[in-house]
Amino acid sequence: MSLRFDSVSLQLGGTDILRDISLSLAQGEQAALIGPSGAGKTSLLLLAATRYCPSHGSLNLLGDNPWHLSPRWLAGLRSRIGMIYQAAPLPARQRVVHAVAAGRLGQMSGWSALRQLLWPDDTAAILDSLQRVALADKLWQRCDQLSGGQRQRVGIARVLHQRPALMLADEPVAALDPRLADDTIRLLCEEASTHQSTLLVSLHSVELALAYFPRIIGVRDGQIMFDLPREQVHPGVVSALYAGERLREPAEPPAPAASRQDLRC
Amino acid sequence: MLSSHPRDPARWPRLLTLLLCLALLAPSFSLTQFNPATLANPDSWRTMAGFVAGFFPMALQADFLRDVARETLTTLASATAGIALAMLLGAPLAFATSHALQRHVLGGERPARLAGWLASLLRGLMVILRGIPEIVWALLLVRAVGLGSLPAVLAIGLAYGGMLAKVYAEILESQTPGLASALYLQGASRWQCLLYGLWPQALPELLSYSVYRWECAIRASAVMGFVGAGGVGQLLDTSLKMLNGGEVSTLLLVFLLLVSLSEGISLLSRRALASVAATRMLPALGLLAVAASVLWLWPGWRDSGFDTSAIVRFARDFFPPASDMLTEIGHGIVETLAMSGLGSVLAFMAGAVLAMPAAGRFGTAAKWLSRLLLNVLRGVPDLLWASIAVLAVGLGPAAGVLALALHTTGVLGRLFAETLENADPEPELALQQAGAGRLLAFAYGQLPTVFSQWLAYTLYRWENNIRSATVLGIVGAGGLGQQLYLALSLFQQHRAASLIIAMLLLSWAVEQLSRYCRQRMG
Repeated sequence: MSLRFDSVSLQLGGTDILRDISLSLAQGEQAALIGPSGAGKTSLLLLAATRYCPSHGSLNLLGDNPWHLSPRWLAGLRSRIGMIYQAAPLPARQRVVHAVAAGRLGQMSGWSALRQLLWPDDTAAILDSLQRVALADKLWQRCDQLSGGQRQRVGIARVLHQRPALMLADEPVAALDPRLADDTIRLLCEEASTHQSTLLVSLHSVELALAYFPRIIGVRDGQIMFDLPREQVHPGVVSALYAGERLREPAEPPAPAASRQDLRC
Repeated sequence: MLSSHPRDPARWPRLLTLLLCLALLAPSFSLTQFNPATLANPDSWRTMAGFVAGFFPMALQADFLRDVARETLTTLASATAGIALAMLLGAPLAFATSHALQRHVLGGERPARLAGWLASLLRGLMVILRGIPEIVWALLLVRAVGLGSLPAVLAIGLAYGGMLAKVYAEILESQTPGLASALYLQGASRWQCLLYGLWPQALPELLSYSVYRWECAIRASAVMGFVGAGGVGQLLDTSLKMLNGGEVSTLLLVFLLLVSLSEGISLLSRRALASVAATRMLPALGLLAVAASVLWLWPGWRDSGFDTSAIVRFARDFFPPASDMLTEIGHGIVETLAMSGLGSVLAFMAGAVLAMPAAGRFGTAAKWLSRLLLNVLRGVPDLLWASIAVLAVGLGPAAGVLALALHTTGVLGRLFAETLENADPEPELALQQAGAGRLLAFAYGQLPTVFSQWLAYTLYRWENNIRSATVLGIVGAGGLGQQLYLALSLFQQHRAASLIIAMLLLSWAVEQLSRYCRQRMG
């Protein structure tokens, strides 16, 4: 079992964010999280990324409960979990080569990581990761010289470079145009199956979710509404999930400010 | 695909820059006789510990404390009276030189040649007034008008007068241009344009800058005692020379309190300037403070036997400046630059290390401890650090390096901590979450953002430090100042004149260079 939530709930600042979540993903399984914004998709992913500690219930990631591990082992576990954020967390003035190399910090020795900052020499593997997101020509550019979509793909290249056993992605394509979004999701799915990684992606676009993922998990008001194979997700199920919500256009990006606050609170 | 190892296209320029910096820095160690190996030597640590232990217990005898209280008041009064003099000097100079009040700007008339020359002449005077550091003014004036608080007031008045004139003129120029011009075209005089067109909108900014300068004047006036111009500095100088550590530490504490008090008052009154009532109250309070200061200082001035003809005679002795000391001056300038460069680099490193706990990365206790340390380092002016460093490591530029490094560490550490607190934490958190250790997450997630800011702050402080380094020699810490102090002590006024000209040129050159760099960087 690659990821298992046993009746996990999460409270932040006194409010219930997630309630009684039970969920498990087998090694190599691929699933999409859908649901209206504010439903708790991001929090669920951040729990799986060990950013938050669950308030109740227990959590098992790649065979370990992260919150029972020593700091050293926790860091080891974390280096096998990769997370793609809604807005790639890249320092503006950093060059792409370092931004991608940072994916393997958990696996590198401290000394060689610091040396690489001054004299990057492991460039072949970095270039290979960048090639997969079609950004090989940006290797030596600074992140603030890239467009929003390109930055997002650098963030994806970083996680590809990390080669995690559990890959999480929080609306990875919200800032990309529809064609690129399609390509990117396909790339993530292919990479995950090549390396037998587990993949859990939250998506705004129900179409994308249905097109690429065999398993769909619907989240609303901090609870799992349904967890079904793609074939059983009927239009009725989807509209019940979004009932009372204004239906969004598939490619409409979420308000970034609001989602950042989500991360903080 | 995997076999191709692209090379960093920026690697040679980067390496070259690094080597160039090292090549410039390496000779600084020998030029300033600053040997970092002594810092690693346990013997020198033991000596240092003994030296520091000598500062305790603090001196708290009643008559000493009475002296301290009296001199503290004198310091405050000198600063206040000095700033009043600076405003009296600066305001008319600003009126005469500000481009905002030139006839051809207001009314589109053809520029009058004579008025233009006069304005340029006055601007040159302003450059000289503010180009000579206030402590050098005090050093000269003590010789011209005698010991006591009068030279301190005059020194602050002259140096800050030049500074205020420049800034006042710039503030007037930065106001909305149409208002004064509209009045002028209705037939108003330039005075009326100033009072009705510029004054109302510029007043808060003018007051705010004056208050800020008052805060600086207190720091300046507190160290002027080192050249005999009264105040707490004079007591401190005596205690240092008598090696009375207990008195020194009491005075340092008073010093820090004075500096933080003035910072607090300045901050409060500048915040209060947002309201209209305060813009009326503040000048009234200021006048009251000036009157009280003059009353407090008056008995001393009356007894000093001030004589104008003595000043003229003293000034005449400086001409013509000695022309046969170019190599000496060259050496002094190189030493000054080396001191400032090395001091700034050391401060950069120490500031970066202290900024980590000060930004709250190692818990609350470490945060407050490091902040306290940074505040002490910053609150004690570099000249004072220099006079202590001279005792610790002996006369010469090494003491200057140490003094600049200590003071600048305080300044930079605080600024660095602020940039760390303001930087976006997400990149670093994301890396920690991907299993990176704290050091690596910082190096890859936070450093790229803050490093360029740190570098910019350090360059800016280096510019300041070049100016400071020229005067540290007055207490024996090397550079041009030491040569000047020697020349004046030996009554070689012609040589002193050349050295003052060198200081002026150095400060002018640094100002122009930094302005050019800032324009280039945008």
